[in-house]
Amino acid sequence: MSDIGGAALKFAFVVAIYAVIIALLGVRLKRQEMIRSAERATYGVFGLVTIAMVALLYALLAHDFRLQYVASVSSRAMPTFYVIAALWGGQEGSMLLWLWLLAMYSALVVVQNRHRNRELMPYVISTLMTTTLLFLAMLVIVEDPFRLLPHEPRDGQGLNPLLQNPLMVIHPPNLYLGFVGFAVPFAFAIGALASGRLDTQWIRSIRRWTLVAWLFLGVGILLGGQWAYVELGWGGYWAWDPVENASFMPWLTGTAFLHSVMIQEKKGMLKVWNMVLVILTYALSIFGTFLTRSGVIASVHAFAQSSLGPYFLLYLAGILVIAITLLVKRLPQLRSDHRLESVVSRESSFLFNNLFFVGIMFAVLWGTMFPIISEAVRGVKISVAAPFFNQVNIPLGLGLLFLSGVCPLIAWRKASGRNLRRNFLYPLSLSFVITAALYTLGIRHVVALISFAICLFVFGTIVLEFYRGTRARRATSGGTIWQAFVSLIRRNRRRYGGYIVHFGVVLIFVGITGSSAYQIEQNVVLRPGENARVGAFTLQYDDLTRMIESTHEAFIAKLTVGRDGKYLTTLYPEKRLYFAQNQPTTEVALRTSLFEDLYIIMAGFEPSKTVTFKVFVNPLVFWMWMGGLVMVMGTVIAIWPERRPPGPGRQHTAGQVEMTALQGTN
Amino acid sequence: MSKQHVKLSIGVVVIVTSVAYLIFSGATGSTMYFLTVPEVQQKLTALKGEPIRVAGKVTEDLIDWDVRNLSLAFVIGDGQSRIPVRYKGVKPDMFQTGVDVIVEGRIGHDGVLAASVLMTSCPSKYQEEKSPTL
Repeated sequence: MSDIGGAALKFAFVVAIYAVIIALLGVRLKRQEMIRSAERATYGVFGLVTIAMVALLYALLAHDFRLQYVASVSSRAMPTFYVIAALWGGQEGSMLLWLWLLAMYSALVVVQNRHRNRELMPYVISTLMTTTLLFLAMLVIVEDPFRLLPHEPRDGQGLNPLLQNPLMVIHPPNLYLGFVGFAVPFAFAIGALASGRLDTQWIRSIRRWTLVAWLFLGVGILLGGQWAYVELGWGGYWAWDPVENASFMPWLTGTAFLHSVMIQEKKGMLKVWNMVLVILTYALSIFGTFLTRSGVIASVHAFAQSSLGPYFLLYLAGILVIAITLLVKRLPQLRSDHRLESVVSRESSFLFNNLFFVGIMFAVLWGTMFPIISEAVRGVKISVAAPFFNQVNIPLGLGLLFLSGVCPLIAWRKASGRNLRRNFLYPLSLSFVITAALYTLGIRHVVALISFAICLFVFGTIVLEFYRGTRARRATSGGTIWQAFVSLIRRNRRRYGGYIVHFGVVLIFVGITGSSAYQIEQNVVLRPGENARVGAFTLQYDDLTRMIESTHEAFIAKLTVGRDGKYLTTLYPEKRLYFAQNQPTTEVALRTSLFEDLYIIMAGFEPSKTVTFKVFVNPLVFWMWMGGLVMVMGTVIAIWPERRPPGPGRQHTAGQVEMTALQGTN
Repeated sequence: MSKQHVKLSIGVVVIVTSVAYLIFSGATGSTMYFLTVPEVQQKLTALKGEPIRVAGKVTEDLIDWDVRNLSLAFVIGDGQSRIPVRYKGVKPDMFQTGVDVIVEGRIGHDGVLAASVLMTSCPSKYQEEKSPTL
């Protein structure tokens, strides 16, 4: 099987080169059949990479330890679920997954655009296939997943127990689906620039692709945070580590693009800016992959000390040069149809929101690259720590949150005093009253109060929008409030999906604010039978027991938790020692509730059964995960195709028509 | 340029300068030297009391883990150089002799680096080194 896999990758390499050349040649010679051939080659690459994936999966499941990769990431004792996940548990496999997703996206793009965007497609195909080539080259030359060991070991080393967590299984594919997904908008941007078809058609074609990529990336980031929270035992979910930053940066510029593209669609403005954002987002995706794979920056996460760096940098430089050259060449055609008329208008509020997004991205980039920059400039490596990121990003983030309340409601062109009063009087009053109430209830943390005030304001604007929309809907078509509410969302999925996403963001801000401003952290040393008080909780330490499992040995403490004098729950923080890897792990005991998480780890114990616990009380963390779910929901609503049949006077893209037709048959 | 454009430009300039200011002031406030163990030893006296971040390997020397006080004493090294470290906090799961660590803290008068941050490289996602096998 391994021979087949390796051969498939090499063959795919040749086919991808063919696709790039024949597509560009087809444009030059104006030969449609050549472009069709490039399309078929794209399917071919997808098929071949799929064969390689299946071959590696087969080798994993068959425990074929002759393969170095299989031996290093899996073992016989591992549950099948994790053996499958080991497919992306190591460097080579995860790059193969990256490649496979890219090949799949490319094939989907070709299917979707058989009859549209014909002038763009040759460039789209060659851009996507060039990226495919990058990964194929790295897999064939440097990181061959099918490399054989000189002797077959009896058993593999197995996956690190810290990674044997369902969240860690789905986290990487989500991130890759996001990273890879941004290749499609980029390819269309290049296609539009190269072909000169710079009207809004290409923008419409990539809207869903961008949203899908953005959604997966966001979900991937949140899952990573959640994994760190439940698995790593330091009580937090985000540490401004370079790897985390690497995934956050393209998300920021991608989000900026999702907003500013609306201004281009509606007003024909910000065309160059949007181009720049698409290019930047993709470049940052590649840069992020480079950061995580090349070991240039020290991180908590293991960075491979691999020789992939030059490949990524060369490719990155290449795409930037090509994209910028094309962009400069097309500048005259990208002039705005309108000009900004007022500072207090929707157009400018979107512009400001974009500046904030890009500002945060730049701050994160600066902080991440600071050791390298300072070494180059001053000859000393200077690093910036988490306080830098917080100091810079908290004010910017709050400014952005505030704009998320303002942008959707403020009038186009120029907002009148009446418009401002009508939309913002109630939300501002709501925010003021509840914030004052929070103050009297004893919340005195200034930043937290500001944050909650803005959250309340944004929440108020969203509620007001839904209320007014529902009322107007009911006035025209009758029915119950609920029917009107549903039909309101249905008739304008994009707008109301967007509001729901904003609501999710508000929840996430509430969670971040609560857990960072009011976290309690306490060390408690207890002998069996003793108890301690942490925050509002009482912890009674009952006993420590030892268990032997097939893969590990566990020491489990039993804690009876009470609150306000009443029994609440029993928690079992654990220390494990995994035999195969000789690796201790700390299992967090967590009790989540709406308002606070009780988070306990066993820091260590003595033979006398005296245990040192580290106890955290993390307020409002649950709101963050909820916010994530709400964001997913809102995005799905926004992506979902419109149901209305194409009527006169309404422009429909071919995709929408196809989708509508498909739904009609159901 | 119309009056509105002047206003708009002011808005843009205000945002851009405040971002730049935040980055600049933040960067001067929370920076620390990122050094290797030999570099620290060379400039030991100058670095005393300064916030530093050091990368090194946990050496064969005795590791003292005081469970009750959550205090971990160990030595990091790189080549021939050594620095004693005392870290207040929970011993990370990946911590053991031979692993690469990054510590953040200040060197006191006793020459011991009092660390408030201890990071072990890994959940060995993409790591190339082999984990110890039995």
